[in-house]
Amino acid sequence: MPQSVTEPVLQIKNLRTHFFTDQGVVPAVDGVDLEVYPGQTLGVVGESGCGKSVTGMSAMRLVAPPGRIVDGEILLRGENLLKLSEVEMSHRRGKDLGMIFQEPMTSLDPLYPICDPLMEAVQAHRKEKMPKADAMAEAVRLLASVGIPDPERRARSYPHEMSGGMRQRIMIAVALSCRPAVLIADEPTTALDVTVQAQILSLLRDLQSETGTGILMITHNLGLVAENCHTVAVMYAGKVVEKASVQDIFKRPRHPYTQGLLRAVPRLDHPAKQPLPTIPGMVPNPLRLPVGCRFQTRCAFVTDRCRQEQPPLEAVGTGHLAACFVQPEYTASAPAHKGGA
Amino acid sequence: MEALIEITDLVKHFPGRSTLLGKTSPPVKAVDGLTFTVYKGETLGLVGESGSGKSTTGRLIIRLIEPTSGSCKYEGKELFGLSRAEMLPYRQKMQIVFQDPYGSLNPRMTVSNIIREGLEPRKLTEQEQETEITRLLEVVGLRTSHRNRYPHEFSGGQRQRIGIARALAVNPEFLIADEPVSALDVSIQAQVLNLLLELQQKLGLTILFIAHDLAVVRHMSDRIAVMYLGKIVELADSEAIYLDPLHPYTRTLLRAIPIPNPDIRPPDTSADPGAQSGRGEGCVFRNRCPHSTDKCSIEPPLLEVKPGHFSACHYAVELPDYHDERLTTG
Repeated sequence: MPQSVTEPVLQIKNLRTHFFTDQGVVPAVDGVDLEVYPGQTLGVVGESGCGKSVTGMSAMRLVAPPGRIVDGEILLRGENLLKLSEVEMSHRRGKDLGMIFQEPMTSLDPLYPICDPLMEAVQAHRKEKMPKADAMAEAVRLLASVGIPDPERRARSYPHEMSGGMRQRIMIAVALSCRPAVLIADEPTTALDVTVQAQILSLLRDLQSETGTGILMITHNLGLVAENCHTVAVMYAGKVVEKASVQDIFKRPRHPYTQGLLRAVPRLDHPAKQPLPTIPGMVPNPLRLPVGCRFQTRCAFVTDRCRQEQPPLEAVGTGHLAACFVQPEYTASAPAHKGGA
Repeated sequence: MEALIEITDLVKHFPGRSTLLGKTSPPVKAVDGLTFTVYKGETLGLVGESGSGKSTTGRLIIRLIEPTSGSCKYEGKELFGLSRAEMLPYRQKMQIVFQDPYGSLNPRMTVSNIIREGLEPRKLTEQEQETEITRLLEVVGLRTSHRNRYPHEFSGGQRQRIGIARALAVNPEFLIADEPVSALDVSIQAQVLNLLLELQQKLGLTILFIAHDLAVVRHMSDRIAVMYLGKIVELADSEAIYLDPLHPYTRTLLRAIPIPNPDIRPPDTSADPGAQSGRGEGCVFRNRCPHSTDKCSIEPPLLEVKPGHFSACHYAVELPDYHDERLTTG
């Protein structure tokens, strides 16, 4: 289990990743601060385009042009990854920082048996060359550790012979092969069936308690956040609008966007066939973001001040930050809307 | 309750592929003997994981694909075997909305022309068409000033509204919604679900709501049919499906749904066996079922085990009481 949880293993400070498109600059990530603690999971939630995936890619330094990290620090155990050369950074990837993606179908090379990426992973970060037989034995051990039945035989299978859930288990095995300090999991179960999703996440929780890996889990699914995360950051239009413990996010959310998201999800424990409280309107065009709060056009609590100033992310409780001037109390039913959508 | 659609013994087998050596793999039994009724004015939810055959079922009913065998009656009239011309009036009564709001709209047509296509069979004058297009745009909550725009100018949620407007253009009685919100963000998903609920109330639509997300299906449906590998394993009122599920697969599915409440510990699913493995003789869920016995090598029929509650399990009434503590706390 986690050692001391006072020092974050990964700290993202004032990260700005902008995309320089023909139409103009898109501030996909616009001043984001996040902390991942050893043995804990930070959930980053938000809707398409909020910048959650770009944040993950930035932490790996895998942002492709026209995107560029224009400001900020990414501190892994205190060392700023943005100051490293590309060669030094490639040594950190895999060894200290692992990543798994949504698409287990496309992240494995179809031409090689699945032992191949595993053996590559276990050999990659060693000074001395590892005998092939040892690497194979290690690959088989890793397959067994992620619950692949008959690992000796399965190691020689090709990706197309395996189901989506199996492939995602293999990706997890590859990502965790070097016991990285941090794992970035970007929608790791979105492409999978719900029963398989439950098994993959239970596997990740077990592995985390064994290895003490800090996980940054990017997802749009609030149910997964509640079940898997210790702390949560809610993103909207490139900014973190609320950050707190999982308890505070679900029970005492103070940002109207977080509150709206929680109300909008159909739940088994709520009455059926009733209209769901919605968030009116849609996300602003990233090329024409409004002055002031970026949520103002969809917010029931909007004031004149919200249209002029951007609310800073400020403490509203112990370990609980929200970027809202109003900070309304959470109610189960939606407030009447007065913002111009 | 009056039946609108009656499906009996519906089967769709896709032929197996031939291999290099001239062997043919066995046919894929996408839909394997479905019998169910959709009553007028209700929403019947069809839920299942990938490969369960739920989308194929929707496509068979409106004859986008042809069945291998079986019967589908619309108000008592057999649809399978009708010629194109004979099918035409039923094509106006039944409409489908697809998952992908990006792929299901012609990118070269303006919104008003997309809807106008649907109006054709109604033989309206040009003036009437324009009025009707305006009305339909208003019904689905789109700005009428956007009528001359192209699909790419709209967001995913708005495109799904265009797809719904097009489906409503023929004044249908029956709407098949095939994963209509799976591609949408949470806040937009709620808007589209509300629109469907509202349209059903206003227009008295009968809806077949197909989705993989049981929480969404439960929210939208009066009754739910749970599918697994081409079969209906359970069919009941939606409340009964999640409060008193009488098939082990339904229970597995329910336990796997994450609930947005941090006080609830995720249930232990490690005992639930993994992926859907090939099926042999007997019950389709046999290989994954914690309760399976030798008796399960005989295929269990879908039987009414409580009033209005059907289960295809030999042990439906003997299963331990189901209690999901996750739904009673908090």
